[in-house]
Amino acid sequence: MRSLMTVLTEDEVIRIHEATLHVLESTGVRVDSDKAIKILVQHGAKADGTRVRMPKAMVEEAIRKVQKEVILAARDPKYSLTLPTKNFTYNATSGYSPFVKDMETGETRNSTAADLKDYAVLCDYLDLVAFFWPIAMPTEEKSPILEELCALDVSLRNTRKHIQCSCAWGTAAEYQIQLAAVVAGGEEALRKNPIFSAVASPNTPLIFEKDVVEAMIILAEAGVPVVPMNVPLAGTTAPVTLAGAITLTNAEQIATLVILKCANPDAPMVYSSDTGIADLRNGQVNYEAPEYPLLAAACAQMARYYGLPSCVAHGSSEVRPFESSYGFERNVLKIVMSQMTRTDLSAWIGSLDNAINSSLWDVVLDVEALEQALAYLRMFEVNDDTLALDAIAEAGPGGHFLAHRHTIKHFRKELWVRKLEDTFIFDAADDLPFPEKAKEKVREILSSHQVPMIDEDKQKEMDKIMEMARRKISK
Amino acid sequence: MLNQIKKAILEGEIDSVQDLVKKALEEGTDALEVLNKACIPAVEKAGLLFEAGDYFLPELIAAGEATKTAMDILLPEVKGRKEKWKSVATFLIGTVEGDVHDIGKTIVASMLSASGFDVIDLGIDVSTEKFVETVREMKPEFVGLSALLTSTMPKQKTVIEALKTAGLREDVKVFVGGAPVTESWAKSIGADCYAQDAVAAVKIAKRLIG
Ligand code: B12
Repeated sequence: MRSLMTVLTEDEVIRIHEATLHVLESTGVRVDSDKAIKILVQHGAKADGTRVRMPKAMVEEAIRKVQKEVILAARDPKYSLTLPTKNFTYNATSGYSPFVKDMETGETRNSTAADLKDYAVLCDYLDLVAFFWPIAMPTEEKSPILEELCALDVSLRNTRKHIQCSCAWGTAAEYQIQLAAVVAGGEEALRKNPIFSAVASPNTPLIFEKDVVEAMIILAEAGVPVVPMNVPLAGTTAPVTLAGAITLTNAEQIATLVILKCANPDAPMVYSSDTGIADLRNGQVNYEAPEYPLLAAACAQMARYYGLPSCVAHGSSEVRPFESSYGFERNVLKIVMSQMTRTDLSAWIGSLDNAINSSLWDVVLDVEALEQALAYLRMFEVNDDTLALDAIAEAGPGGHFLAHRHTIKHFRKELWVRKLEDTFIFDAADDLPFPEKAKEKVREILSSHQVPMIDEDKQKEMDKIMEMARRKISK
Repeated sequence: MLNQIKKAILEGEIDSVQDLVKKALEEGTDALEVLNKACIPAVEKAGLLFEAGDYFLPELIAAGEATKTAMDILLPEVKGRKEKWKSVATFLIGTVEGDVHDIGKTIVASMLSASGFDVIDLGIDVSTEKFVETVREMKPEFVGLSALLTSTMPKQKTVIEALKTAGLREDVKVFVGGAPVTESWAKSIGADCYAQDAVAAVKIAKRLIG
């Protein structure tokens, strides 16, 4: 027994799949790279300039090659994750925001590598952060490529967990693979144990930019899992109907699968989207919309249909700070709804202002909220003992269960009971505002937690790669 | 007939607007009158409905598009006459080099266009040279630079500097925008205006042309 959320019937899943085949065969996608087009055509695609149409047979072939299992390895194997998870969600920080709220002043400012290091150390400590998205960008770097590279470098050095980083440029992919290979012990070791995966996104609707698609191919060849998180927005870049938005999301995901499988039949992929709706009063992304978790649930269903692990639901409240337990608990419920979709991965912790901003203390608050959300997401058993027939008979009409053996035997497991000291938010004697309490926690962790270092010679090799990259990449 | 045209514009019925305008001209209605008594009041009404929250972006933009198709028929009739119709202004817009974020810029472009501006949309990942060349060629009153990545925001500055070097900076008002862009950033790079969303962008641009 577990609460799950699905929105599509089995027939509807199949209709969306068929609609997807139709889109890929008749409308096709735009691919801005000769290299990618060449590989696709070799495998049966029809190209007309940059417009690439994928015949049904070709798409079905790619779907047949879907990996049964995807490993998101970690620097410390204890933190490696195996997907699909089937029954629960691994959570990560949200990612790549250019701003942070300063711990001391509370003001929003540009984020730096030093901030990213703090996030990595904090998340290395926090158990419920299962893998790490470089949440804040090292904006002092001189180019977007160097930002992506430096983000991986800092993360690898400061957390033992799997890293899912952004990769929108082929050059970034090459250097990221080099860096990770040093830590993993060579390119073959990296292929077996990809200690990082990469978010390289199609540009909705139906565009594969040159830099992104070339990055995808390089990553696929190296066996690094690709996470093509697309962001179709119903009403602006996607059809306003939910079914249409899901179809477009799915078409871009499956087109990515085809590209990856053409580059390397063993290429691992995580089905990943952040499909949402546009607020049609102003065009902005509306993460608070009720449709947002519904779209996520549908995407999770589509991923399961193909046997692909998913990273499709990222629900949490962007309305911050939490001044009251009401706001905090509203967030708990949003997280619950999001994870009821059974998405395998979810990246949301610490995100503020529609993923533009972040704060260390919101990471701690979100982890606390997640802890509570997990109470709703537990599995309950249905068996002879839990059906409690004997207890019901013994209590009989009008009796009670309060001190019954059955109650005593089960309540600690069946009901959500926490030790009071387990939560620092509600039960502390003082009445400091939540953010202040969370800040104290952050300071405590950062001053005491030591992340084991990468071997010194490996660090030196990483330094060399970074130096070379900074020298060669200026733009 | 003028009322029917107005209604068709407000409903964004592009095809019937075209037919109705042609019919009106055939029946001898003056082109300028169609413009001033149907098209312009219709767009203005759409704007008011939008501000009041009754109209949503798709309706506002569709009304703008419908007006444009009407203009396409009417303007050739009006030109060459003594009474000149004044098109609002030309707005050149694009997302800077290295950046492929499209929607925000497109919404700004559509809103401007719906509000009567002539919009030249250069698309995404637009090189600095392309911006400068197009300014030289098309002589727009406004240039809008969109950037969604902190790492591409400096390109907004690069474009402004390049316009200076090309001696074109004084001819245009430069708008900057995009989620991470702020008013103070706009000031620091010497842009003329910052707008946090499309509605604000239109308001400011309209204010500037008086
Ligand atoms: C959708 C999206 C994408 C889509 C874009 C699809 C498309 N067709 O455009 C895809 C998936 C392709 C994408 C890719 C990437 N993205 Co992106 N993306 C977003 C997201 C979620 C929403 C942007 C959006 O469309 N908003 C809706 C529109 C309507 O809003 P808007 O763009 O802000 O525009 C409004 C105003 O800003 C203003 N405005 C905009 N332009 C202009 C111009 C002028 C002249 C004026 C006056 C006003 C103005 O008016 C608009 C309308 O009201 C943002 C998060 C966010 N909160 O912005 C991240 C975000 C911008 N992306 C980000 C990142 C990191 C990336 C990638 C590097 C990551 C990756 N691995 O995919 C790549 C970069 C690729 C590249 N070379 O540019 C980061 C940027 C962080 C940073 N360092 O600056 C953000 C903040 C999210 C995050 N934290 O990860 N992204």
